[in-house]
Amino acid sequence: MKRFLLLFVLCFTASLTAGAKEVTDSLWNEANTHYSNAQYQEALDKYLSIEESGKESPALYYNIGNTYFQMRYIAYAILYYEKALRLEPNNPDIIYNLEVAREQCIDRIEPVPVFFLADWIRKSHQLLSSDIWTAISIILLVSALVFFMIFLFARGVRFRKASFILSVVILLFTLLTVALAWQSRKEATREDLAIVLSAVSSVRSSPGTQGKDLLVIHEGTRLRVLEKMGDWARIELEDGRQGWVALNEIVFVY
Amino acid sequence: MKKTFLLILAVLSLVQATAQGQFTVEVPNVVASKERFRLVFTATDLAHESFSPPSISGFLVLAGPTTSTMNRMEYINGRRTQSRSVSYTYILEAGEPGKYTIGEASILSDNVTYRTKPVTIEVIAGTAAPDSPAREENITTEANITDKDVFLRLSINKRRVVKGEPLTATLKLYTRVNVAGAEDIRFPTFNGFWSQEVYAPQQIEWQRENVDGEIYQAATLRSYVLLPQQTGDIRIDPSEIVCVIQVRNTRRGQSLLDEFFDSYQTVRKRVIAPALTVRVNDLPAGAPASFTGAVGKFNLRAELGKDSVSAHDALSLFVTISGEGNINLLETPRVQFPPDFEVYDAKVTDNSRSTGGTFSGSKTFEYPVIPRSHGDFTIDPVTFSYYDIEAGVYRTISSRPLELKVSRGSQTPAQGMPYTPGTHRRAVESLGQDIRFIHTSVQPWRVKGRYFTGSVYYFVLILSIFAMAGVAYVVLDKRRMHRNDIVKVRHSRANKVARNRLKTAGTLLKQEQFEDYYEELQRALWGYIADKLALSQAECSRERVVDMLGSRNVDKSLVNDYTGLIESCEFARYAPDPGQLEKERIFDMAVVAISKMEQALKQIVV
Repeated sequence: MKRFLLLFVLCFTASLTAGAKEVTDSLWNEANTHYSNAQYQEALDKYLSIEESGKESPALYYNIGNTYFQMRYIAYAILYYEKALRLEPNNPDIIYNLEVAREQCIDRIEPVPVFFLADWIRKSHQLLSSDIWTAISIILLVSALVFFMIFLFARGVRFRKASFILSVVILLFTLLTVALAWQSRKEATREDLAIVLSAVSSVRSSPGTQGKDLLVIHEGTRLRVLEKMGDWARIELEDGRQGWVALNEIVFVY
Repeated sequence: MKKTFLLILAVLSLVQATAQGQFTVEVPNVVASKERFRLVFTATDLAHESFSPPSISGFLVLAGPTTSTMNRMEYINGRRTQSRSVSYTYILEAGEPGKYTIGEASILSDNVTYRTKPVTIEVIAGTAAPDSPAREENITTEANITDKDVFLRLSINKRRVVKGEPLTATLKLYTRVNVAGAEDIRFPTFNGFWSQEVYAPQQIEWQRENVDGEIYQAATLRSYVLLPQQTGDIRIDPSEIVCVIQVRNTRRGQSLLDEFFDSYQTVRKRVIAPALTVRVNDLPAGAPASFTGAVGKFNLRAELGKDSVSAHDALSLFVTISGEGNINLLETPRVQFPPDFEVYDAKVTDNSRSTGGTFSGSKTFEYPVIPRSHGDFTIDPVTFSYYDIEAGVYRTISSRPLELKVSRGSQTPAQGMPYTPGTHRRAVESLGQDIRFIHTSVQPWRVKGRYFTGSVYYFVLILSIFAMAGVAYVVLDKRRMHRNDIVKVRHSRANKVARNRLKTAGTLLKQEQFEDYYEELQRALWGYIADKLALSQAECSRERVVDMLGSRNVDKSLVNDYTGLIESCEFARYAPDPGQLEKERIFDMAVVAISKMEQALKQIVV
């Protein structure tokens, strides 16, 4: 009964959004044509109107990033590539274009080196997006349960032994994929990542204009916001240096 | 020897014949009213035929033309040069102030007419200045040599220029006194400009000039063409010179001799040309991409040394930029060659000269290239941008696209080198970097910020999976319980069922229905073991039973006896009658086997 209810709700929402999807698709195609004809402003307007309608997809953010790049708004291009990368962390095109855009930035910040194994573990969730991880985890969970049932009800001793071991192993993998899915989702909805939008922004030692200037950063630089206080945010650069910048000079990725 | 001499003589005479004659006029350009001055026409190296005098108006001709002839012979390094000049001299007196023109004079020589240009003479009111500083008559002393008597002036022709626009600076010395010489000359340094001396005389030439209604002897010391390299107000530092002035001693000596001979005294005076400021404006915004700072008016021509060439052979592209402006400072224009061309640094030939306060001429850039593969290539038009000062706009000029046919060259790239396959292989070069193209496939749109992981549906799904597993467990468990119940019942009733069957078999034996008897006996044996081992009728086979009993550690001999008994029953059904005794023996054996099996299974099955 519960499942039927769920199915019904899903069908209902799908039928509601079917009309909207056609509109979005036509906007999407028009925008792509504009981009191909190098009419970047028109393309950008259409892409942004899709975004404003509350829809998203990795390719949408990627294309917006490309359009901004062609219009020489490097900071915005980086912002949108980052957004795209959150939805699809392993897309090589997004990674490549983000790299190209970063090379146009003024600031070159060397990230603090991390032990490669730790880096692998930390970035393992980036292999797939959170929903894909979840799908895998659900398939694994179902198979673990099936094997457990076999263990419980089968009669052959060896058969039962094998299915028990299998179910335990699969359960371990299930837990791993669930963890990765949650990690991926956490990364994708991280609210502390920001990009510098103003051409030049000074990092001060304390919030407010009376703070001493510590560093000068330029548009397109990625930073982590540690805390917010009024119109000021305490930020950390990728190399670990910290300071305060005005909130209106940066924009959050999420 | 003689021949050589004759040859040299012939060559010399040829030189003589080709030596160009000249016809010039010499007159001061500024005179004072009532001043007498000389107007001299000089014909040099002309076979004198006839002189047509000029039209002279506004001046009183006091004398002339008087003709004088001068022959000059020079030996320089053993070479003899001979010149002969004839001059026609007028003595004129200036009239009212104003500007007057003396018309052209002409001379006919060997059927060629030589003309002078008309000259304009300015007559000003005021005292007559000396003809030359050497004939200084004014009585001056050291004390009264003022800044008005001798001064230095640096003049530039434009005060407001744009960056790269040529301007001329002229350093002139003006004097009304007898300047015998100069020492400690400090010429201006033009910081912020690219400068070139265009006039630096070995010997100072004095010329009359009218400065604020006074006649001065003026001499151009240096003349420069400047190209501003910076923007803003650029100051040209003062230049200075120490003039050595000869002053006649005015102190009358006691002796008559002193009075008779003038005594001269040299006085040094430092004159300074004041500093100047030039306002250099930056070029307006919106310069084209190919603009590299050229200012002026230019033309562009691009051509290839050859139209067709074979691969690995060198050829050159010549780009010539001609015109006027800062041509000597032009940078090498960028030429986009096809990717497979090896391009070397361009060779630059500068044919520019400074003329009329700017540079003009041409600059040729030679780009040596070697095409490395064959085919028809088109070299993109060479574009060049410059700032047109007069129009105040940037102009971009470009050549036509150049076609080049490269034929398949000889296989040996270098002379004498044997061709080895594989040596031509190269890594594919990256020509540029750009972002990758957009993704255009239709998108699976989803609501922004909505993730399945962690959503309500996610938890519902997980819960429903566990619920389904629970349901499955309950169903399976019930089925197993049910099945277990059947097994238990069969297990506990196995002995009873077997005994009933044995009893039936016993009655059948008595009724002498042997076939049924054996069948019943066999069924009792099979049924018992199937019930005990929870096997269905279909699963029951000898191997299966042996296997299962073996796994329950039942004594092997017992198992063999039991199965042997079943087989002998089977066998006996179709065999000839073995006799009453044998039949009873089998019956007893079956009873014993079942009871033994009961014992054995009881010990093991819990």
